[in-house]
Amino acid sequence: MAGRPAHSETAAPAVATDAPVWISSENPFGDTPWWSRAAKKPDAAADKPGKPEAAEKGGKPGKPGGKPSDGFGRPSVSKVWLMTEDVSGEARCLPRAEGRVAAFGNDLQPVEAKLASGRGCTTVTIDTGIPGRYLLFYKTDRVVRGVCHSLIAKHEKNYIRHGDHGIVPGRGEPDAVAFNLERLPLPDEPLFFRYRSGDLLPLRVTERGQPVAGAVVTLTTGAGWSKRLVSDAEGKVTFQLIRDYYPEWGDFDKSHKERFVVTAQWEGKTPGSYEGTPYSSHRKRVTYAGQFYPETAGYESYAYALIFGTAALILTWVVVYWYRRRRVRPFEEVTFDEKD
Amino acid sequence: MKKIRRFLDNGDLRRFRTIVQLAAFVLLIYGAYFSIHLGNEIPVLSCGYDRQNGGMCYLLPLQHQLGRPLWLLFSMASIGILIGFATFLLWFIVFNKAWCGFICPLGTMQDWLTSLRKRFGIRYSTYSQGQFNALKSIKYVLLVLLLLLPVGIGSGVIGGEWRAAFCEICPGRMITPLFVGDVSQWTIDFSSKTSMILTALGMIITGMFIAGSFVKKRFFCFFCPMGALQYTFSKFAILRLKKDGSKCTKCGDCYTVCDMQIKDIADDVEDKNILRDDCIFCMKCIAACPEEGCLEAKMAGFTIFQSTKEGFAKRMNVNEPGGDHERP
Repeated sequence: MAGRPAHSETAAPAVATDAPVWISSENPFGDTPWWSRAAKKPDAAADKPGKPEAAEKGGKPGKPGGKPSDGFGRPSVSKVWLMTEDVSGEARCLPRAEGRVAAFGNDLQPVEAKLASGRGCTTVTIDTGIPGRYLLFYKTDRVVRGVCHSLIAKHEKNYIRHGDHGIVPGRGEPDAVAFNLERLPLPDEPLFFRYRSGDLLPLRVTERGQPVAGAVVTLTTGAGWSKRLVSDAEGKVTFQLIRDYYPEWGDFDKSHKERFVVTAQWEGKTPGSYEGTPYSSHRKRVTYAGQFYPETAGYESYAYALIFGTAALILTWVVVYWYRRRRVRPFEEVTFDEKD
Repeated sequence: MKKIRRFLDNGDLRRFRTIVQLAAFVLLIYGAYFSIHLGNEIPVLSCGYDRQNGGMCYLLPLQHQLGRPLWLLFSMASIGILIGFATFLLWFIVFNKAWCGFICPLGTMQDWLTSLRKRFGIRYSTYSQGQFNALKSIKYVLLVLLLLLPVGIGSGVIGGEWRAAFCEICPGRMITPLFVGDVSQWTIDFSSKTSMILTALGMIITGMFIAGSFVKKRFFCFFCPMGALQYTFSKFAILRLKKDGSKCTKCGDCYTVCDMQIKDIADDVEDKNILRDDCIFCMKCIAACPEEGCLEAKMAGFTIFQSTKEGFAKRMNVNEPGGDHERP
């Protein structure tokens, strides 16, 4: 579900009515120049069950949101894509936007966010001129057979470049969010941080800032693996990210990105009405997409490094000592034989 | 003015250099703790892998910048590269190769290893002239590779793992972060064959660096591509090393004290500009020269340190060469 989408602008399968929506910062068109996007066939390998990320093996990763040309320099405006599933379960662009967006900057102040649909994709453009952490929420509400379905897709990203000194990413969440999935930062989380296999992903489910107990939280990776937990009294759940990427040594890419989507669901028997339509219960769902990379311990070795370094140190000293010893000539008394 | 001149010329260069080296080491290794950062175009091997550095070696950003796609490298977007290079030049032309002898933290570490060797009473090693001539071109080879490999990445000939290839093999990457408690660079990266070879080479060179610096003064400076890059532009610098060959008696003291074994400092009596590519501008030659005004360091035409009989006598704790005479 969270794998690299097999995107095509032609004759796309229909989007399921209750399909989740999540936000991706990757351009689903990848490296394809915009003038050649038409009739791009999805990779057949991506359709194989259990291997949705096989399509990534030979391809290049999608470019991050922002200027589509090169990603160099910090764009003052960044773009993200709304993704969903089609009826066959394949990830694809959300073709039309039916909801609304709200974005917040580093200090939780609202920032401008524009929703746009075109070429089969729905995008959100955020003003990221000021470096810091940005939160983006996309929300749709719909009443179907007396049940109000609220779907919130959340996106969190630090728009900070190495030249931006002294920036402290914001913490905390806006209280106005009806149903939220907060990522709890790790204790020593540095400024430029990425999750790696083996890392814990602590999350908290909240409703207008208050913890929600008993919410069903599901983490699904692009490889199709999923785990389901229930939030505790403090609304917390913790997942451990585990990679499913074990290629041959020659094909291993330490920057290989495995994607995941976390979905929290909660249903309450709270009657109400939405746009004049009454409902007897309210089903809330929030998604949070992310990615993680292979752990460094999986391909780096301290032991071999110390062996090589120590061996070089000792060998150098031995060579120097041997060389200097060879140059030392014992004293030889010069004698003359008068007969010669 | 004469008093100032005499004070400078008679100064204890060794103590002055030790103080400057220590201050520069603290600044460049721990600068971030004091919220000091001098930028990323510093002309010394102040490693960027030290997260608390107070100024970064220019070779790291240079490699990254040159590793752009060619169409971007030769576009207006590369004005940033030119600005970075201009900043590097502006830093460099002030102190010329004295950056090596007084500021470079990796050079300072080598001097510490030399001091350790002296405490053990172990004699230092030197290169023969043949070995010297054979090895001196290595730094230029490294400099050319350092500049060309990133361009190869941009043209698609080689993969991105070669982007900071010199940093992968530079001993500064392994040793400098140790001073802030970071051992994360002491690994071999098996993620690809290229990374494995480069990081393994880095560890081997680090082992050789420690052993070599212990027995040979300023061992790594002989192979340093930063020195080669600096020498390319040393004629534009305002700090110069000058020799008046007419006053040289070819006593060889300057060559004896020279950490880099530069023969020209003693042998060349024709060339007024006696700075050579291996020179680290430590000024030990000036301090050891017994002839009045034979060797001098000049900044923008003003002599800041010159060889004098009186200074020689004071530093060497001997009677003045040429007998005692009345001091002015």
